[in-house]
Amino acid sequence: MTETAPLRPLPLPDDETRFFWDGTREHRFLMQFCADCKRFYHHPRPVCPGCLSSDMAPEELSGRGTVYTYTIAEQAFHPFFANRLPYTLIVVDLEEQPGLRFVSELVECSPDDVRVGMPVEVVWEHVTDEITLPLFKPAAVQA
Amino acid sequence: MTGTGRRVAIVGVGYSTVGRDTGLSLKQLIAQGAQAAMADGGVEQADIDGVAMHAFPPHFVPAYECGALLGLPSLKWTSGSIEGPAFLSAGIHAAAAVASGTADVVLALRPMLRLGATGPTPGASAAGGRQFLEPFGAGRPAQWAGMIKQRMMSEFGWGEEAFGRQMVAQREFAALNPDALLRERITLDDYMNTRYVAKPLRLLDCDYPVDSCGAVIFATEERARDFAQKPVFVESWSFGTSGESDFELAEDMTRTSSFSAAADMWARTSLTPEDVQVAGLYDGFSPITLNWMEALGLCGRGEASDFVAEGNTSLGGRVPVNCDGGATNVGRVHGVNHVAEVVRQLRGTSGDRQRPDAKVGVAANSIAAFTACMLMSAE
Repeated sequence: MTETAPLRPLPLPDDETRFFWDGTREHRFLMQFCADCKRFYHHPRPVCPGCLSSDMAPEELSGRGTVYTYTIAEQAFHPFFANRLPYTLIVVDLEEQPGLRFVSELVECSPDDVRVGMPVEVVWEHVTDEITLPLFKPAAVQA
Repeated sequence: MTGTGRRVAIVGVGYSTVGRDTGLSLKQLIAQGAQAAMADGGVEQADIDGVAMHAFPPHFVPAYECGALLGLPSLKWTSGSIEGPAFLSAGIHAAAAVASGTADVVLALRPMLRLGATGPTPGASAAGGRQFLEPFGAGRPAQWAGMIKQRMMSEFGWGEEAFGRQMVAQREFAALNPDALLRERITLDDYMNTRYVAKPLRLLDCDYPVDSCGAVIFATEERARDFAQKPVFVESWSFGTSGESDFELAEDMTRTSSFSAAADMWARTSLTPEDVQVAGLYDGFSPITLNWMEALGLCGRGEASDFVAEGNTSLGGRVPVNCDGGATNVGRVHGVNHVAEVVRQLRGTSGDRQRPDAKVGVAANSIAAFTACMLMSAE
């Protein structure tokens, strides 16, 4: 007898967020972009918080940014994460726009090495045929 | 007070039994808390014409039902809030109702049953905004608190001692408070040796989950003169909100909406931050306490670490903070204590932990997405 391993909590795409998860499945990091005031925003929502326009469309981002802040999870609040401790949660400042942020996990980096301001880039975590998560890793050194 | 209507006073404060596993129902806790505040103020059922309450479903009883439960058959006004900055959500609703003339004597309640340190376990799938947190193993309050603590440390060059010293000072107050649950004095080393929950957030940075109901009664100045206690006047208040509703996405984690709430509160009074002699600053997580010191102007931005280290917030300090021990030690009564202890201090009834000659005090709740603060004074 083997016990069923706890599953990762999965996002439940809705009409406003489906484009995001459709994008990650194709390894594209998309956010809503307002055609009127030319700004990205996240989370997805029905109107632009800058100008209340509903004339927006998903645009692809580079998936690069820097760490605004982080925390090392030392306690699991969901059974799936219990045997993954410690893991590093980050808030990423995305490079396209000041203050455009995304919450994710930093992988391929020891918790001792994470720093505020460190460059990171997206890496794709295939979870199911429907859901791929955008995680982040330290950015490759650029010339 | 300027610009907020009739003068409002706090006439009664009280708690239910507070404990880890009281075995009491939410309604039993509500009845106990209400009766404690009524007994404190000499307030009778017939005096109360409004009820405000704040709680999260499923541990929620509507305000009108609280009224029926407490034998208050003909309320003029009720407010049940399931969102916002902890007790001050109900407290400000109550004060505003009195100030506006909608009601004369309002009972404000914050009942709660103990949850785990961070609320319920997430489900198998995450909907709405939660879909951008839970799949990553994020989204628990201790985790955003850890992110805020880290950002404060990185931006201001603070060590963890900045927070630890405040927690040591609060435990000293708790040692002097017979009603506190955690009363054994601690040292900075003790703090630095407790485990991390969400590094750099430690267990001793977190409040202590309990079953409880705290209650505060607000009344007009005229009615306040009839009740048993020396009135404590509510000078000013404000809520604050943010452009982002996720705590993790706060635009500026070392400011947040606490700064706008404080600015709006100060704009409606002739008192200034220099007048504050005692403070009850939310300590669901210790970074919030230090954030409020700066937001309220008790010290400058980035200076809360030094402000605490210099002893200003400790017993005998210039602006003692969380003189009951705070929710980290009296239990998570979710903001009621931050008002109740300031009220006791301004009455001059805080015993060994009394700040001498305290005439002006401030209470503040929450951080980031929603915040609130309330300025109080005694004659």
